Amino acid sequence: MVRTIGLSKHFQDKTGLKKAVDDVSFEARPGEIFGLLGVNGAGKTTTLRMLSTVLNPTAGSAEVAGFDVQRDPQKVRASIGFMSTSTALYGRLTALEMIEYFGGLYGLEGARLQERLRYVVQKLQLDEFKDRLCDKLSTGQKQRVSIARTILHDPPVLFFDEPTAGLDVVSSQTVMEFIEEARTSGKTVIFSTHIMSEVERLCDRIAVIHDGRLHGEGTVQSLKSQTGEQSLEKAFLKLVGYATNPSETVSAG
Amino acid sequence: MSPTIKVFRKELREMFRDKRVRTSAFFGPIFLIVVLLLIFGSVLGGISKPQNVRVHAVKSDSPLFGLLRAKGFNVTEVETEQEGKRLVQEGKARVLVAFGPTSDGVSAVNVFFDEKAQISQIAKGAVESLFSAQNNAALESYIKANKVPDSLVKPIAVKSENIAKVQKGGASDFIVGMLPYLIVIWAFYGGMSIASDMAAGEKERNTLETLLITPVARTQIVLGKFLALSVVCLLSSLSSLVGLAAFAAVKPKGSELMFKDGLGVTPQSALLTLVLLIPLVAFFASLLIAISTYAKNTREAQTYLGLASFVVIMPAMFSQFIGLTDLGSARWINFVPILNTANNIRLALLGKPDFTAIAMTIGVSLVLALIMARITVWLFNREQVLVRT
Repeated sequence: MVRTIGLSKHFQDKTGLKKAVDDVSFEARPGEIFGLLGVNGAGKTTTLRMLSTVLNPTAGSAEVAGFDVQRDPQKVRASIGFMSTSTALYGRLTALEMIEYFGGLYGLEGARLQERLRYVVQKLQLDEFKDRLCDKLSTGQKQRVSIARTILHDPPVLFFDEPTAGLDVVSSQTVMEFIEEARTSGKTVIFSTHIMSEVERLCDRIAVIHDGRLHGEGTVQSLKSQTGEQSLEKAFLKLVGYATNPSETVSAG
Repeated sequence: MSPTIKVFRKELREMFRDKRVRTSAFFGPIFLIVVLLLIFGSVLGGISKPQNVRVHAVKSDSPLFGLLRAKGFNVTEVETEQEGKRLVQEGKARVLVAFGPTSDGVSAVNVFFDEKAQISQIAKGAVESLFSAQNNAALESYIKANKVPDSLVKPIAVKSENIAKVQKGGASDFIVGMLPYLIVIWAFYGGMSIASDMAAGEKERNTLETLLITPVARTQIVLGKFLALSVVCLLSSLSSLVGLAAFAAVKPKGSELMFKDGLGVTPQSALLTLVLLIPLVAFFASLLIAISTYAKNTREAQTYLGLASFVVIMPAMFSQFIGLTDLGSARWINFVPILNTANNIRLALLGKPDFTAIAMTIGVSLVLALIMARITVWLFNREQVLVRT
């Protein structure tokens, strides 16, 4: 379970106070894929960074797997797996060394570590390149190693921050199938993206984020009904206040 | 296994697989010191032998002209004094010797040289030494032949005696002058090559966030990186010793002048050097990581590291000359970071360790290391530092 109440993150920069995330509240449950849908710069990554304890909230609170992100950050981190296309692998380690290293950092050792390594190698078909340096892997192979690193310690909560960005259709398919499997195995999955088709395929419920604020929450169908639109794309645009037709009056969700 | 050790092992594995680290931190010091010593040896060997001292001399029938050649000087004849002076002024000749007429039994020898050219001064010195020795020989012959008592010719007899406590075991002057400097700067420069990668590089490559999302405490991450970098700094510093030992073992041309007393590094001086080096390495490693953590990216890190290297090099360079002053034995020197370590290494190599000074030096280095480590942990907990790129 992931729960946020009034979660906010404000930054001070040269132009003044920037509210990257402002009063965001939602709840994601086990066995569910919860989507964070928003354009680039909407606040999705900042939200996930707060949930993974990389950033401290300016206001509000958040709980991940029953642990408060500010009071028990280490327990939160032990309970999550985080995957993003922007995060890289250590080029001078082999694929297996990479996964094993992170397994160790998550507290896996000895027989348990070896068992999990065998599982992810077999599950993600890493055998053919597990002893190759990460620098020498293809994009798709790197993605599979990233997935392996994310799930090795079998966390109850998984965060995916635009995991298919820059991937070809085959690699994207692998990632999306994996996310669906995670839901089936009862994990709480938060999936951030700006790609409508992925949301429609994967997400059980969505939160629409724009300019750091929540503009709507619900299933794909409920958001379409709420906005009176046939497509998720138009429903999204309506919720964030983007006029698709100059004569339309926009209203935020 | 502690997370610190896991981070340490992974960092070391990556470092040793990095060709850049192997080249700049290990092979670099060995290669540089061998090349440096070869050049020094060649120059020293060249200027110490008379046959390598080139002089120009105005053609003359004077027997002193023949003496120059007989004593092994490499003599080039010139027709006129004017021509010879022009060559000296243009830098084409080191020194010009012109033989004047003999008057009242005194043969005039004029030596023309360029004061601003070191090589000209050396050649002038060699010529003056030759004729000075001739004068002394003539005087000795006269005294003997005329049975002149010593009390008239040498009323003051000066006798010098070496009373150093340790006759054996002190390193040669050359080693004592150079080694502390090399040991200290390689401890810094060896780590510089990799430090920018350890935090700033991870930010750039987007691997740092993944590391921070693990349940490992920030302090443990910093400690693991610090230990790995310390190993590289220490091995880099010791690589310069390996180069020196290899050079002394091979004994190429010119080495007999630099290592006339052998390598001269005793087990005690080697152990003391290591004991002094370790806290300094700890300080350098924590400083390097702090700078890397603060920087947004590797380029910025390299700029800051370059500036920091000036701060390190100054006291290290001064340690080469401290033996010429009384400062080497001053107590307050032991509170000056880097200089204190270099100075005490110098004293250990001379076979004159001061254990109180060594303890003070180790204390200062450790305190600085702890301060820098604390700063690094603080930086690692500041999200403004960690997520800015």
